[in-house]
Amino acid sequence: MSDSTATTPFKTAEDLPGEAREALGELLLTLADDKRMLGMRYSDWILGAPSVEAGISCSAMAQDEWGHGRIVYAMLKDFGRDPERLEHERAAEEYRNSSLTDRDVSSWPELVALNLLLDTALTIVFEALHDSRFEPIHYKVRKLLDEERYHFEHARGWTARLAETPAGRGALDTAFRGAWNACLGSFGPDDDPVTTVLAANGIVSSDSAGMRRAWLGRIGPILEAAELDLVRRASGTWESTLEIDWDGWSPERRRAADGGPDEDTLARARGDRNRSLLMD
Amino acid sequence: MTGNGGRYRLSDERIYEVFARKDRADRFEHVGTVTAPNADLARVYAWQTYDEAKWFEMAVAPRDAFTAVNLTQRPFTLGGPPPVGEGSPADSDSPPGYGTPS
Repeated sequence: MSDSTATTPFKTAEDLPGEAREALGELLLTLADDKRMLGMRYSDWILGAPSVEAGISCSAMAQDEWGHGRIVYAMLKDFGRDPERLEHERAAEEYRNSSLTDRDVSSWPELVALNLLLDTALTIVFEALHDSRFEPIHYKVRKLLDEERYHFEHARGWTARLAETPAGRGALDTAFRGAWNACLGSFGPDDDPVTTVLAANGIVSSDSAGMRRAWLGRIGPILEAAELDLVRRASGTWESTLEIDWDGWSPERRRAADGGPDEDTLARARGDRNRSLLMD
Repeated sequence: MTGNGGRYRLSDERIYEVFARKDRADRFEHVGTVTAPNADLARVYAWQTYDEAKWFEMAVAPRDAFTAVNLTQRPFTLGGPPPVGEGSPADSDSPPGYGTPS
Protein backbone atom coordinates (compact mmCIF):
# COMPACT_ATOMS: atom_id res chain seq x y z
CA MET A 1 0.00 0.00 0.00
CA SER A 2 2.74 2.43 0.97
CA ASP A 3 4.72 3.99 -1.80
CA SER A 4 7.62 6.07 -0.60
CA THR A 5 8.69 7.09 -4.08
CA ALA A 6 5.36 8.47 -5.23
CA THR A 7 5.02 12.22 -5.17
CA THR A 8 1.51 12.62 -6.52
CA PRO A 9 -0.27 14.97 -4.14
CA PHE A 10 -3.39 13.93 -2.27
CA LYS A 11 -6.00 16.61 -2.91
CA THR A 12 -8.49 15.44 -0.30
CA ALA A 13 -8.57 13.15 2.71
CA GLU A 14 -10.58 10.66 0.64
CA ASP A 15 -7.63 10.30 -1.72
CA LEU A 16 -5.38 9.05 1.07
CA PRO A 17 -4.66 5.33 1.34
CA GLY A 18 -6.79 3.89 4.15
CA GLU A 19 -4.00 3.30 6.66
CA ALA A 20 -2.54 6.76 6.01
CA ARG A 21 -5.90 8.41 6.44
CA GLU A 22 -6.40 6.67 9.76
CA ALA A 23 -2.86 7.54 10.92
CA LEU A 24 -3.14 11.20 9.93
CA GLY A 25 -6.46 11.43 11.76
CA GLU A 26 -4.75 10.10 14.88
CA LEU A 27 -1.84 12.51 14.60
CA LEU A 28 -4.06 15.53 13.93
CA LEU A 29 -6.25 14.76 16.93
CA THR A 30 -3.16 14.64 19.15
CA LEU A 31 -1.94 17.95 17.73
CA ALA A 32 -5.34 19.60 18.15
CA ASP A 33 -5.64 18.49 21.78
CA ASP A 34 -2.08 19.57 22.51
CA LYS A 35 -2.68 22.98 20.98
CA ARG A 36 -5.88 23.55 22.90
CA MET A 37 -4.43 22.55 26.26
CA LEU A 38 -1.17 24.40 25.76
CA GLY A 39 -3.20 27.50 24.89
CA MET A 40 -5.01 27.13 28.17
CA ARG A 41 -1.74 26.94 30.08
CA TYR A 42 -0.54 30.14 28.38
CA SER A 43 -3.84 31.82 29.22
CA ASP A 44 -3.38 30.97 32.92
CA TRP A 45 -0.44 33.40 32.99
CA ILE A 46 -1.90 36.40 31.16
CA LEU A 47 -2.43 38.21 34.46
CA GLY A 48 0.34 36.60 36.48
CA ALA A 49 3.39 36.85 34.25
CA PRO A 50 6.59 38.54 35.48
CA SER A 51 5.93 41.68 33.42
CA VAL A 52 3.09 43.32 31.53
CA GLU A 53 4.85 42.52 28.28
CA ALA A 54 5.23 38.84 29.19
CA GLY A 55 1.50 38.75 30.02
CA ILE A 56 0.66 40.22 26.63
CA SER A 57 2.83 37.54 25.04
CA CYS A 58 0.99 34.84 26.97
CA SER A 59 -2.28 36.29 25.73
CA ALA A 60 -1.05 36.32 22.12
CA MET A 61 0.32 32.78 22.38
CA ALA A 62 -2.89 31.52 23.99
CA GLN A 63 -4.91 32.99 21.14
CA ASP A 64 -2.55 31.50 18.58
CA GLU A 65 -2.76 28.04 20.14
CA TRP A 66 -6.54 28.07 20.36
CA GLY A 67 -6.71 29.22 16.77
CA HIS A 68 -4.39 26.41 15.69
CA GLY A 69 -6.42 23.90 17.69
CA ARG A 70 -9.66 25.07 16.14
CA ILE A 71 -8.23 24.75 12.62
CA VAL A 72 -7.00 21.22 13.23
CA TYR A 73 -10.22 20.06 14.93
CA ALA A 74 -12.15 21.37 11.93
CA MET A 75 -9.91 19.39 9.55
CA LEU A 76 -10.80 16.18 11.33
CA LYS A 77 -14.26 16.27 9.78
CA ASP A 78 -12.63 15.02 6.58
CA PHE A 79 -11.24 12.07 8.51
CA GLY A 80 -14.61 10.70 9.54
CA ARG A 81 -14.56 12.33 12.95
CA ASP A 82 -17.11 14.71 14.38
CA PRO A 83 -15.40 18.00 15.38
CA GLU A 84 -18.38 18.96 17.52
CA ARG A 85 -18.01 15.84 19.63
CA LEU A 86 -14.23 16.13 19.72
CA GLU A 87 -14.36 19.70 20.97
CA HIS A 88 -17.25 19.55 23.38
CA GLU A 89 -18.19 16.05 24.42
CA ARG A 90 -15.19 13.94 25.31
CA ALA A 91 -14.23 12.56 28.70
CA ALA A 92 -10.80 13.25 30.18
CA GLU A 93 -9.37 9.85 29.28
CA GLU A 94 -10.19 10.41 25.60
CA TYR A 95 -7.87 13.40 25.33
CA ARG A 96 -4.47 13.09 23.65
CA ASN A 97 -2.78 16.20 25.07
CA SER A 98 0.56 15.91 26.79
CA SER A 99 0.29 15.00 30.46
CA LEU A 100 2.25 18.23 31.09
CA THR A 101 -0.83 20.29 30.23
CA ASP A 102 -3.35 18.26 32.23
CA ARG A 103 -3.38 20.94 34.93
CA ASP A 104 -2.08 24.46 35.47
CA VAL A 105 1.62 24.90 36.06
CA SER A 106 2.69 26.42 39.34
CA SER A 107 5.68 28.54 38.36
CA TRP A 108 6.93 30.73 35.52
CA PRO A 109 9.96 28.49 34.81
CA GLU A 110 7.53 25.59 34.33
CA LEU A 111 5.61 27.65 31.80
CA VAL A 112 8.90 28.47 30.05
CA ALA A 113 9.56 24.70 29.93
CA LEU A 114 6.23 24.17 28.15
CA ASN A 115 7.00 27.13 25.90
CA LEU A 116 10.42 25.87 24.82
CA LEU A 117 10.12 22.09 25.04
CA LEU A 118 6.48 21.26 24.30
CA ASP A 119 5.56 24.11 21.96
CA THR A 120 8.71 23.47 19.92
CA ALA A 121 7.96 19.73 19.81
CA LEU A 122 4.55 20.52 18.29
CA THR A 123 6.16 22.92 15.83
CA ILE A 124 8.58 20.18 14.71
CA VAL A 125 5.62 17.91 13.90
CA PHE A 126 3.91 20.68 11.92
CA GLU A 127 7.16 21.34 10.08
CA ALA A 128 7.19 17.66 9.10
CA LEU A 129 3.72 18.27 7.60
CA HIS A 130 4.83 21.42 5.76
CA ASP A 131 5.62 19.80 2.41
CA SER A 132 3.14 17.00 2.88
CA ARG A 133 1.68 15.13 -0.08
CA PHE A 134 -1.60 15.89 1.69
CA GLU A 135 -2.09 19.28 0.08
CA PRO A 136 -5.07 20.69 2.04
CA ILE A 137 -2.79 21.16 5.02
CA HIS A 138 -0.17 23.35 3.31
CA TYR A 139 -1.61 26.83 3.77
CA LYS A 140 -2.74 26.12 7.33
CA VAL A 141 0.69 24.88 8.36
CA ARG A 142 2.45 27.85 6.78
CA LYS A 143 0.39 30.36 8.72
CA LEU A 144 0.78 28.39 11.94
CA LEU A 145 4.55 28.19 11.58
CA ASP A 146 4.76 31.96 10.98
CA GLU A 147 3.09 32.54 14.34
CA GLU A 148 5.13 29.89 16.13
CA ARG A 149 8.35 31.73 15.31
CA TYR A 150 7.48 34.23 18.03
CA HIS A 151 6.61 31.53 20.53
CA PHE A 152 10.07 30.07 19.99
CA GLU A 153 11.79 33.43 20.40
CA HIS A 154 9.79 34.07 23.56
CA ALA A 155 10.94 30.72 24.94
CA ARG A 156 14.54 31.32 23.92
CA GLY A 157 14.55 34.80 25.41
CA TRP A 158 13.13 33.65 28.73
CA THR A 159 15.40 30.64 28.97
CA ALA A 160 18.40 32.90 28.46
CA ARG A 161 17.07 35.43 30.94
CA LEU A 162 16.39 32.93 33.71
CA ALA A 163 19.71 31.20 33.18
CA GLU A 164 21.57 34.42 33.99
CA THR A 165 21.39 33.79 37.74
CA PRO A 166 22.13 30.60 39.70
CA ALA A 167 18.66 30.63 41.27
CA GLY A 168 17.00 31.10 37.90
CA ARG A 169 19.09 28.37 36.32
CA GLY A 170 18.23 26.03 39.18
CA ALA A 171 14.52 26.69 38.72
CA LEU A 172 14.86 26.14 34.98
CA ASP A 173 16.75 22.90 35.51
CA THR A 174 14.00 21.56 37.77
CA ALA A 175 11.25 22.64 35.38
CA PHE A 176 12.98 21.33 32.25
CA ARG A 177 13.78 17.98 33.87
CA GLY A 178 10.15 17.67 34.90
CA ALA A 179 8.98 18.20 31.31
CA TRP A 180 11.83 16.39 29.55
CA ASN A 181 10.62 12.81 29.23
CA ALA A 182 7.11 13.74 28.12
CA CYS A 183 8.48 16.04 25.41
CA LEU A 184 11.33 13.80 24.26
CA GLY A 185 8.85 10.94 23.95
CA SER A 186 6.03 13.01 22.46
CA PHE A 187 6.95 12.01 18.89
CA GLY A 188 6.37 8.36 19.77
CA PRO A 189 8.86 5.46 19.82
CA ASP A 190 11.21 5.02 16.87
CA ASP A 191 8.93 2.27 15.53
CA ASP A 192 5.76 4.26 16.14
CA PRO A 193 3.18 2.90 13.67
CA VAL A 194 1.46 6.25 13.07
CA THR A 195 4.51 8.25 11.96
CA THR A 196 6.00 5.23 10.17
CA VAL A 197 2.93 4.92 7.95
CA LEU A 198 2.75 8.67 7.40
CA ALA A 199 6.44 8.93 6.50
CA ALA A 200 6.16 5.98 4.10
CA ASN A 201 3.32 7.75 2.32
CA GLY A 202 5.01 11.13 2.14
CA ILE A 203 2.49 12.72 4.49
CA VAL A 204 5.23 13.71 6.93
CA SER A 205 8.81 14.36 5.91
CA SER A 206 10.36 12.42 8.79
CA ASP A 207 9.44 9.65 11.19
CA SER A 208 9.43 9.80 14.99
CA ALA A 209 13.19 9.37 15.30
CA GLY A 210 13.79 12.09 12.71
CA MET A 211 11.43 14.50 14.44
CA ARG A 212 13.09 13.82 17.78
CA ARG A 213 16.51 14.57 16.24
CA ALA A 214 15.14 17.80 14.74
CA TRP A 215 13.72 18.81 18.11
CA LEU A 216 16.99 18.15 19.91
CA GLY A 217 18.81 20.11 17.20
CA ARG A 218 16.47 23.07 17.69
CA ILE A 219 16.58 23.30 21.46
CA GLY A 220 20.08 21.86 22.00
CA PRO A 221 22.02 25.09 21.49
CA ILE A 222 19.65 26.97 23.80
CA LEU A 223 20.02 24.44 26.60
CA GLU A 224 23.78 24.40 26.15
CA ALA A 225 23.96 28.18 26.35
CA ALA A 226 21.85 28.00 29.52
CA GLU A 227 24.30 25.41 30.91
CA LEU A 228 21.57 22.81 31.34
CA ASP A 229 23.02 19.33 30.88
CA LEU A 230 19.98 17.64 29.33
CA VAL A 231 21.67 17.53 25.93
CA ARG A 232 25.13 16.84 24.54
CA ARG A 233 26.67 17.22 21.13
CA ALA A 234 27.78 13.96 19.56
CA SER A 235 29.43 13.93 16.13
CA GLY A 236 27.55 16.91 14.79
CA THR A 237 24.13 16.10 16.19
CA TRP A 238 22.44 16.73 19.50
CA GLU A 239 21.33 13.93 21.75
CA SER A 240 19.55 13.66 25.07
CA THR A 241 21.69 12.80 28.07
CA LEU A 242 18.67 10.95 29.50
CA GLU A 243 17.16 7.82 28.01
CA ILE A 244 13.46 7.95 27.24
CA ASP A 245 11.37 6.12 29.80
CA TRP A 246 8.48 4.53 27.89
CA ASP A 247 6.93 3.12 31.02
CA GLY A 248 3.26 4.09 30.97
CA TRP A 249 3.27 5.24 27.32
CA SER A 250 -0.03 4.62 25.58
CA PRO A 251 0.29 4.10 21.81
CA GLU A 252 -3.44 4.76 21.47
CA ARG A 253 -3.41 8.10 23.27
CA ARG A 254 0.13 8.99 22.14
CA ARG A 255 0.88 10.14 25.70
CA ALA A 256 1.10 8.78 29.23
CA ALA A 257 -1.74 6.30 29.62
CA ASP A 258 -2.71 7.52 33.07
CA GLY A 259 -4.66 10.67 33.70
CA GLY A 260 -6.08 13.35 31.50
CA PRO A 261 -7.05 16.98 31.81
CA ASP A 262 -8.22 17.80 35.34
CA GLU A 263 -11.79 18.88 36.00
CA ASP A 264 -11.22 22.60 35.58
CA THR A 265 -9.10 22.15 32.45
CA LEU A 266 -11.65 19.81 30.92
CA ALA A 267 -14.58 22.14 31.65
CA ARG A 268 -12.75 25.07 30.05
CA ALA A 269 -11.54 23.06 27.05
CA ARG A 270 -15.03 21.76 26.32
CA GLY A 271 -16.76 25.06 27.02
CA ASP A 272 -19.03 23.44 29.60
CA ARG A 273 -20.22 26.76 31.04
CA ASN A 274 -21.40 27.90 27.64
CA ARG A 275 -22.96 24.62 26.61
CA SER A 276 -26.44 26.18 26.41
CA LEU A 277 -25.12 28.64 23.82
CA LEU A 278 -23.78 26.02 21.42
CA MET A 279 -25.42 26.14 18.01
CA ASP A 280 -26.96 23.01 16.56
CA MET B 1 9.06 37.16 40.52
CA THR B 2 6.10 34.91 41.10
CA GLY B 3 6.54 32.59 44.01
CA ASN B 4 10.29 32.80 44.09
CA GLY B 5 10.92 35.57 46.55
CA GLY B 6 12.68 37.72 43.99
CA ARG B 7 15.65 35.42 43.71
CA TYR B 8 15.80 35.92 39.99
CA ARG B 9 13.94 39.15 39.69
CA LEU B 10 14.10 41.29 36.62
CA SER B 11 16.87 43.65 37.50
CA ASP B 12 18.48 44.47 34.20
CA GLU B 13 15.62 45.22 31.86
CA ARG B 14 16.05 47.83 29.16
CA ILE B 15 13.59 50.02 27.34
CA TYR B 16 13.44 49.34 23.62
CA GLU B 17 11.95 51.83 21.17
CA VAL B 18 9.66 50.21 18.61
CA PHE B 19 9.47 51.37 15.00
CA ALA B 20 7.27 50.05 12.24
CA ARG B 21 5.94 50.77 8.78
CA LYS B 22 2.95 49.38 6.97
CA ASP B 23 4.39 49.47 3.50
CA ARG B 24 7.76 49.35 1.83
CA ALA B 25 7.16 52.89 0.55
CA ASP B 26 6.30 54.25 4.03
CA ARG B 27 8.69 55.84 6.46
CA PHE B 28 9.18 54.14 9.79
CA GLU B 29 6.98 55.50 12.54
CA HIS B 30 7.72 55.33 16.23
CA VAL B 31 4.90 53.19 17.62
CA GLY B 32 5.91 52.80 21.26
CA THR B 33 8.24 51.05 23.65
CA VAL B 34 8.65 47.71 25.37
CA THR B 35 10.70 46.78 28.41
CA ALA B 36 12.65 43.56 28.03
CA PRO B 37 15.73 41.79 29.38
CA ASN B 38 17.15 40.89 25.97
CA ALA B 39 16.69 41.50 22.26
CA ASP B 40 14.83 38.19 21.69
CA LEU B 41 12.14 39.18 24.13
CA ALA B 42 12.10 42.79 22.93
CA ARG B 43 11.31 41.54 19.41
CA VAL B 44 8.53 39.24 20.59
CA TYR B 45 7.02 41.80 22.95
CA ALA B 46 7.06 44.49 20.27
CA TRP B 47 5.41 42.27 17.66
CA GLN B 48 2.74 41.00 20.02
CA THR B 49 2.05 44.32 21.78
CA TYR B 50 1.85 46.61 18.76
CA ASP B 51 -0.26 44.35 16.59
CA GLU B 52 -2.79 47.01 15.61
CA ALA B 53 -1.64 46.92 11.98
CA LYS B 54 -0.39 44.36 9.53
CA TRP B 55 3.14 45.72 9.52
CA PHE B 56 5.43 45.30 6.55
CA GLU B 57 8.46 45.84 8.79
CA MET B 58 9.09 46.34 12.49
CA ALA B 59 12.35 46.99 14.31
CA VAL B 60 13.43 47.69 17.86
CA ALA B 61 16.44 49.46 19.32
CA PRO B 62 17.49 49.97 22.93
CA ARG B 63 16.66 53.51 24.03
CA ASP B 64 20.17 54.00 25.34
CA ALA B 65 21.59 53.32 21.89
CA PHE B 66 20.23 56.66 20.68
CA THR B 67 22.35 59.78 20.74
CA ALA B 68 20.82 63.21 21.23
CA VAL B 69 21.54 65.68 18.46
CA ASN B 70 20.17 69.11 19.33
CA LEU B 71 19.12 68.54 22.93
CA THR B 72 21.23 67.14 25.72
CA GLN B 73 18.54 64.89 27.15
CA ARG B 74 18.25 61.34 25.82
CA PRO B 75 15.75 61.00 22.97
CA PHE B 76 12.24 59.71 23.72
CA THR B 77 12.36 60.93 27.32
CA LEU B 78 11.20 64.50 26.87
CA GLY B 79 7.46 65.20 27.14
CA GLY B 80 4.63 63.51 25.36
CA PRO B 81 2.36 60.84 26.78
CA PRO B 82 4.20 58.13 28.70
CA PRO B 83 4.40 55.07 26.45
CA VAL B 84 4.06 51.46 27.58
CA GLY B 85 6.91 50.46 29.85
CA GLU B 86 7.67 54.02 30.95
CA GLY B 87 8.55 54.58 34.55
CA SER B 88 10.72 51.51 35.07
CA PRO B 89 13.90 51.91 37.12
CA ALA B 90 15.99 52.11 33.97
CA ASP B 91 14.24 55.33 33.06
CA SER B 92 14.10 56.92 36.48
CA ASP B 93 16.71 59.56 35.72
CA SER B 94 14.50 61.19 33.13
CA PRO B 95 11.01 61.99 34.40
CA PRO B 96 8.65 62.25 31.45
CA GLY B 97 7.02 65.55 30.68
CA TYR B 98 9.18 68.00 32.63
CA GLY B 99 12.68 67.40 31.38
CA THR B 100 14.55 70.58 30.60
CA PRO B 101 18.07 70.40 29.22
CA SER B 102 20.36 71.79 31.91
